[in-house]
Amino acid sequence: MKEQEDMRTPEEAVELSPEEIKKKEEEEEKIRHRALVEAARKENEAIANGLEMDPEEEAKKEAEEKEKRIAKVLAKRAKYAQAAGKSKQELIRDSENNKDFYTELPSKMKKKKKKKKKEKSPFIPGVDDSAWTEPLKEGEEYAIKVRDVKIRYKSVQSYSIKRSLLRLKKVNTQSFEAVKGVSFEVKKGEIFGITGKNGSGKSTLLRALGHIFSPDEGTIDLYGHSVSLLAIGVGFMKDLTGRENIMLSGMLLGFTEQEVKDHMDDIIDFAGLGDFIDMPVRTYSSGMYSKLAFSITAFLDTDIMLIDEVFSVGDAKFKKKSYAKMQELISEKNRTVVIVSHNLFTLETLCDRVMWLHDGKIVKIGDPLDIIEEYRDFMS
Amino acid sequence: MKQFVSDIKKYWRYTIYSAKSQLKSEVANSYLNWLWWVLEPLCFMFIYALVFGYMLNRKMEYYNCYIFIGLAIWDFFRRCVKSSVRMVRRNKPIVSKVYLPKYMLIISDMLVNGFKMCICLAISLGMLAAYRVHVDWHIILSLPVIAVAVLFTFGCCTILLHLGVFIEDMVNVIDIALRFFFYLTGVFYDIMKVLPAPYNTVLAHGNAVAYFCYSLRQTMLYHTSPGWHWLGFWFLFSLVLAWLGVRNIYRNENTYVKVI
Repeated sequence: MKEQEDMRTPEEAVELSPEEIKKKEEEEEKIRHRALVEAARKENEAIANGLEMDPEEEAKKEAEEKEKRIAKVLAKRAKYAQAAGKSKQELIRDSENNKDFYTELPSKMKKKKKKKKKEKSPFIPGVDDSAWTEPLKEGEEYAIKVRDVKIRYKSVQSYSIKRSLLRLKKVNTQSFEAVKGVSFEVKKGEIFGITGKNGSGKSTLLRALGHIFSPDEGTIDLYGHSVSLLAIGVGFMKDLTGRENIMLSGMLLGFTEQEVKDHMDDIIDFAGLGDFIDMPVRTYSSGMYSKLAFSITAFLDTDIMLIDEVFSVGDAKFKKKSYAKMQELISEKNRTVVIVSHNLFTLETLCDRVMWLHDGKIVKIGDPLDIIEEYRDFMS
Repeated sequence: MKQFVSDIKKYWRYTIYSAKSQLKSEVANSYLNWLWWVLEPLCFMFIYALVFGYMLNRKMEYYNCYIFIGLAIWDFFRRCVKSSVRMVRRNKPIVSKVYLPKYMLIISDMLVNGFKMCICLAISLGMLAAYRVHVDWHIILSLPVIAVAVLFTFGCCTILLHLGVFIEDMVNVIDIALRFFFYLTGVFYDIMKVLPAPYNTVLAHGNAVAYFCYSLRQTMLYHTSPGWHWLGFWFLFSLVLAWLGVRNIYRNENTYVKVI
C-alpha cells in the first residue's frame, strides 16, 4: 500500500470527492459507449456495402460478448448471494438444482417504493421547431415535410344509448392532444429516428405519416412518394395457411399479387417455418406467427418505410437475422426510413438523425449520439 | 368520384382475395363444409313452409319457390347490414395499421354474402325446374332488380358503418329493427293479399326490400316485368344513399381509428 502511494503522481495524490468520482466514471462509460456505437456503425456500413466480416473476427466478437454476458450474470448472482449469506459453492449447487434464489432475497435487497418525483422539463426555453431545420445541399430533396401538425383525440369518444339513458345526462367527452404542433423535414434517403417516453406521441405521428390518422391541424407532404407502415401480421386470418396469409398481408400492404408471388419463396425461406407454412396460422406458436409476419414486411418495400418497433420479434437467433435484414433494407440509398423505437442502441447505430419527442412536442433533432445521450440523462 | 374510382381500382384485387379467403375460412373447420351455404336457406324455407304454409294455412301456388326467392334477397340484405355496423371495430387490427378505404371492407363482405345469394338463386332456378314452373324471357329482368337491391344494400351499409363506430349500442338497435323489418317484407306471405288497400301498395313499394322481393317474384314466377317507375325511383334513391355514405366515410374515416 505504501509503495502504491509513493508511485502516485501529484495529481493522483489529490483525493476526489464521491460526486467527482461518479462523474468521471460516467464520462468514461460514455466514451466506451461511443466507441461501441462507432464500431457498430462501421459494421453496418460494411454490411450495406456488401462486405462480409472476417469469420474469425466475428467468432472472436461473439465469444467476447458471451463472456461479458456470463460475467454480468455471475456478478449479479454473487451480489444477491452475498446479501443472502450464501457461499459460491452453495450458489452453484442451487443453480444446478434449478432453485430460484431470487425468491430468497433478504429484505434490505428488496426494492423500496420510490417517491414520485416532480417531472422535469427537457424543453429548451426560447427554441422552436424552426431551429431544427437543416438546409438542403445540392442534389438533396425532401421526402417528408411536416408543418404544424396537431393530432387530437378530442370529442371522438363513442356514444352509448344505454349509458346516456341510465345517467339521464350527456356523456362527457374527453380531450387529449397527442401531437401538439410539430414541424420537421426528412430528406430523401435519410434514416430518421424518433424516440421519447411512452405517451409522447411517436406512434400517433407515425400513423399520421402513414395516412392512418389525419392531422386535425397542419399538413404532411410526402411529395408523391409511396409509404407504408411496416406492421406485423396485418390482415392475417387464423384459419388460412401461412402461404395464403402471405398473399393477404402483402396485398393489404399495397403490393400487387404478382409482386407478392415473386417474393413468396424468399419470404418462406426467411421465415424458416418448414412444412408449417402450409398449415393454418392458428396452429402456430406466437414466435412462429411473429417470424412469418416480420418476413412479409421485410421483403415488401416502399419509397418511404415507417417502422414501429418491429425489431423485437422471435427468438434470439431470429432477432439477429431480422435485424441484419432490416439493416440491409434501410441501407438502400434511395429509401427514406422513419424508425420509432425504444431500443436506443438501434437508433444510435442505424439513424442519420434522431428526433426526441416529449409530450407531443419536439425537444431536439440532431446527431443520434448527442440526442440519445441527453435523452438517457434526462430519463435517468 | 375520381377518388372513389381510383381507390376501387387500387384495392379491388385485395377485396376479391379477401372475400375468397373469408369464404374459405368460414368452412375451414366445418364438417359439412360449403354444404351449409345450401342447407341453411333450404332448412329455413322448409320451416316457413311448414309453419306458415301448412300450420297457418297461408299456402299459395309454388309456395316453396316463393319463400326461397324472398329469403335469398332478405338474407343478403340482413347479413350485409348486420355486419356493417361493427365492421370497423371487427377489423381494428387492419384499420389501425394500414390505410384502406373503409367501404372496401363493406364491398368484401358483400362479395361473400353475394356469393351465397347467388347459390340461393341458383337453387331457386333448380326448384323452378323441379316444380315445372314455366319460365320465359322475363327472368332476365331479375338482373336489374338484383343490381338495384345490391346498390341499396351498399348505401345502407355505408351509413350504418359510420354510425356503428360512434354509437356503441347500434348493433342492438339494428337487431330489433331488422326483426321488425323482416315481418314487413313479405318473405313468407303476399303483402298484396294479406294487407288491405292502400296499405298493401304502400308497403310493397315503400319498403325497398319488400319491393325487391316482390319484383323478383314477378319476373321469376309470374312472367311480369317489374314496375320500372318504382325500380327507377329505388335506383336513384340507392345512388344518393350510396353517394352520401361514401362521402361521409371519406370525411370521417381517419377519425374512426381514434375512436376504436
